[in-house]
Amino acid sequence: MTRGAKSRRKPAARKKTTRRKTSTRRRRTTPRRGLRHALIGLAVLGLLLLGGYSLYLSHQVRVAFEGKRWAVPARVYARPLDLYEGAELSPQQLRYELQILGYRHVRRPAGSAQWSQAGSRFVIHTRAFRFWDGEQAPLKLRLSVSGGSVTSLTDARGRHLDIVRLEPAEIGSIYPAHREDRVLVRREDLPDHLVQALLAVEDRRFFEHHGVDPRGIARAMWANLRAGGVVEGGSTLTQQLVKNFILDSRRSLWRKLNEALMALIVESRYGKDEILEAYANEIFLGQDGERAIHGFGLAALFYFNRPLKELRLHETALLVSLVKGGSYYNPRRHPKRALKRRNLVLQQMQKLGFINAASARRAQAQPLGVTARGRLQQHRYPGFIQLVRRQLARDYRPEDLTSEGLQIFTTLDPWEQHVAARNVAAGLAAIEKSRRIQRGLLQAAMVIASPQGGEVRALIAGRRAGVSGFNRALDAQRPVGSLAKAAVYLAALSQPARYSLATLVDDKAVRLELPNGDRWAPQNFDHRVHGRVPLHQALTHSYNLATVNLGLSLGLDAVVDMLHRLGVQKPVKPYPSVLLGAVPLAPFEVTQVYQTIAAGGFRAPLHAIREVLDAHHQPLQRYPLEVRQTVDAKAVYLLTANLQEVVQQGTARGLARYLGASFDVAGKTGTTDDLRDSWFAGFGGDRVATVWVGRDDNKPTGLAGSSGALPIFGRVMKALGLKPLAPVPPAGIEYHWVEEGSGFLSAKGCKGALRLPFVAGSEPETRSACARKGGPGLLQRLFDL
Amino acid sequence: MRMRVLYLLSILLLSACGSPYRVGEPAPVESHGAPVGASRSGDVSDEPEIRAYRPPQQVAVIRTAPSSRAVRNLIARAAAQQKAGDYGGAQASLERALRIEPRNPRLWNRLAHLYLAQQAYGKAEQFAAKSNTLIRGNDALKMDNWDLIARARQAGGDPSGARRAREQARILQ
Repeated sequence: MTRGAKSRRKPAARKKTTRRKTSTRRRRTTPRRGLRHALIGLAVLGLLLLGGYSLYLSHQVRVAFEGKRWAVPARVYARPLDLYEGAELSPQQLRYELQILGYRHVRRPAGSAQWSQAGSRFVIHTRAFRFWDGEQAPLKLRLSVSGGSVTSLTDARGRHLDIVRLEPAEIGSIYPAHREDRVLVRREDLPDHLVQALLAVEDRRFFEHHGVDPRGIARAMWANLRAGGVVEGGSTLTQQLVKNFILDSRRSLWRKLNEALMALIVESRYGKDEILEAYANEIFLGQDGERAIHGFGLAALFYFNRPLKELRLHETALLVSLVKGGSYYNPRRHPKRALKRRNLVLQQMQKLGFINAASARRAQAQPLGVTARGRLQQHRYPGFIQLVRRQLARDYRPEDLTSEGLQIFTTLDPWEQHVAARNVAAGLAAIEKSRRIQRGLLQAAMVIASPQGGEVRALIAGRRAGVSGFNRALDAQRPVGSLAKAAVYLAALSQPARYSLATLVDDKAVRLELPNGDRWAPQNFDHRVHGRVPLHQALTHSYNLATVNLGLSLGLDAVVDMLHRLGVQKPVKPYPSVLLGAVPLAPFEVTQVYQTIAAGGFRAPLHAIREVLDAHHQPLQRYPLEVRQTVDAKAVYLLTANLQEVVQQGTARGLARYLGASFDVAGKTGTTDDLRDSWFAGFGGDRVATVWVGRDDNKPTGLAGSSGALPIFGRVMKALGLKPLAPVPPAGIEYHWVEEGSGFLSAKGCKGALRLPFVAGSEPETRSACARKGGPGLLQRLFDL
Repeated sequence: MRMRVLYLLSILLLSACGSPYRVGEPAPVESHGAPVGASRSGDVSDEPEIRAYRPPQQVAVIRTAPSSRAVRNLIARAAAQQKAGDYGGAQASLERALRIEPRNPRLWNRLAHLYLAQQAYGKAEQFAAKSNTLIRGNDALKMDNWDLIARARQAGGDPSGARRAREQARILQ
């Protein structure tokens, strides 16, 4: 827009010069009638041009006021924290949640957005918040947190509360390409001391002048002369607004004139309050990376992590001092300079009688009080926001997202995201150290979702949290290796007439000639052949040859079909190598596959959005829970039992180090050729997650699934307190004792007997010798005791 | 009419089941830590693999009634919202409850009823089926789910499917 205005202004500037030359010439030539007519004509033309130009400017003003002023980006919120007795919560997490909400830690909460803590007891005064299902008034909460959960929850009078929620933290905004952000404030939301501070240092006759204030200019010049520096500005607030709205910042007389003309137009069209409101939302107050901080609403969050109306005098004064130059007076970079300027603002306010000497002194004695980093910079989740954007793009046009002021409520659990990001980074560093890998070489991605509902709770796009760039969780398509075996075994277990966990499968060499003439001869990880092994053992130890033989006898189409039923959307070509995971998938897609398994065969499309409200807080769209049974629950139960065994005794045994030896969790490791990709996907009672570790250049890392991704999964889940799995056997599942080596039906107490779940009727018919005898003899039973 | 009776019955059961679970049965977390010895047999040292599977008695009994006051509160809220015709609000309340107790079959059943009331038959059937996979031992709730599936199929134009579902419900009677 600025560029457009610039190019339009150039011809006008030339015209102006021409006009001046004509008038000079007039004085020198002798008057002649023809010439006079020409001059009158020119004057009329000039007037017409001026009128036209004013009309053009007037149009510009209208467009700026009524269009751009409302370009508010969509605000994205995390999930709100539900508080109720029994809710899992640690004091540490609660403090974190309060911190990202910008609540102030005080000794005794008096106003909203304040909290205090005494041991395990918290007092929290919440802000009012408009949720999608109605407004929640400010609450005065008392709660006790101990043993990892909320043990009591009452209001200030001690009355029990069933369930309340904290407002959701804002985690980002989806703003237009020109990277301007806004938190709109209305005129009535502008604190009095903010308006007074503005009047004091920027334009004290604002309510009297008509857009331009010659007296103000004179006074400012005089004041600045006496102070030996710039104390006051000569431009009115209206002029400053016009400057911000439309014109570029080059200093020229023409620009000044334009500014003045437009200020007059603005004043004639709009009231003082409207102008003040526009000013408060438009003024440039700092820079956050590539994002410009416009307006006091956003600046309050950016510098103090609190809404404007919660700011105190000294904080407001600091924001007003930034009007002079958001970068020059940047309080984080130039604290001394900013403090000096702030105190000058306070002094001016006192001089004009807005505040008394005592308030001024008190405010001047306060430290700057800015947070260490901008809120949105500190708690920004570019990886997750990217997912939100993509999911929104299905339903909204880009311009709606960036100009309608939508409120988007997502599924992100900020605590979980924080813990995961920290542990992924620490986990990678630990692996690099112990394996003597060059520091910083490894990359990782992780997705955590709720198993039953498919809500994405955390998404780690790469090693460095908060840095946008390549989103490995969504876009790193890497072969999944043995993670794909889950689909092969599930396809088998879905045919109970042919396969059970006890069915013996051949772990023997395979040589295949592919349609393109290539030979394919896969090998086991340990380069050994294990002969006939029970199906569950083949998965537990991730035997490649058994899997390929099993998959070939099932048929590749059945396996590919299973991948699709589990949630893989892209086409998968039925090559034999698919059986060993030659399917490139992103961690996000893998998480979908394992979600379906974790939910007992009910696929819930992974999603990041719960609700969307419009700028007036009216519900626009809900994204309700969706589930669809795509795989038989009994088959999934058998697979899950097998994936629990993988963790207890198979390739994922290493998890015991993090979660304890008898912890009930299911999972699978994955490793690709030459150790390029290290995968782990797993689930407990309340979370399903996928971790990928590898290199961006796709070179080998020397890490198998169990040595790269698994420890990171373990670390994160330990830190989050994963709940045990405890799956419910669906109707039609029976447990039977079987003899491992033969696969025959056995009995409790028989040697080598193992208790396995079966789809009723699929258990072996042949009985072992011990079972035929009716179980172990008395002697053996005694020995077993 | 029969359905109404069934529904009433399930509500009665819901209110009746509340306390016994909380006092009598182990929470899932507690049941997990128990030794897996019950599945062992024979020569344990030779066969470490036999620890692989949890015997059924160790599988946590799923809550057949909402255990927390929070969830009960949300169920009541959802019922009030549904009564007022605010289906979206009722859905949101039940989903919020499900985030607290994701494996509570009662909540899935409630959502199924809500979808049936909105004539979203496909969803109603899916949610009822989901509820069924999470139930252990509560035949009344299972029966209600099958009955609901039958009605959803009937209304969705699948009379033979509806018959099969009704048969399932009858078996449980």
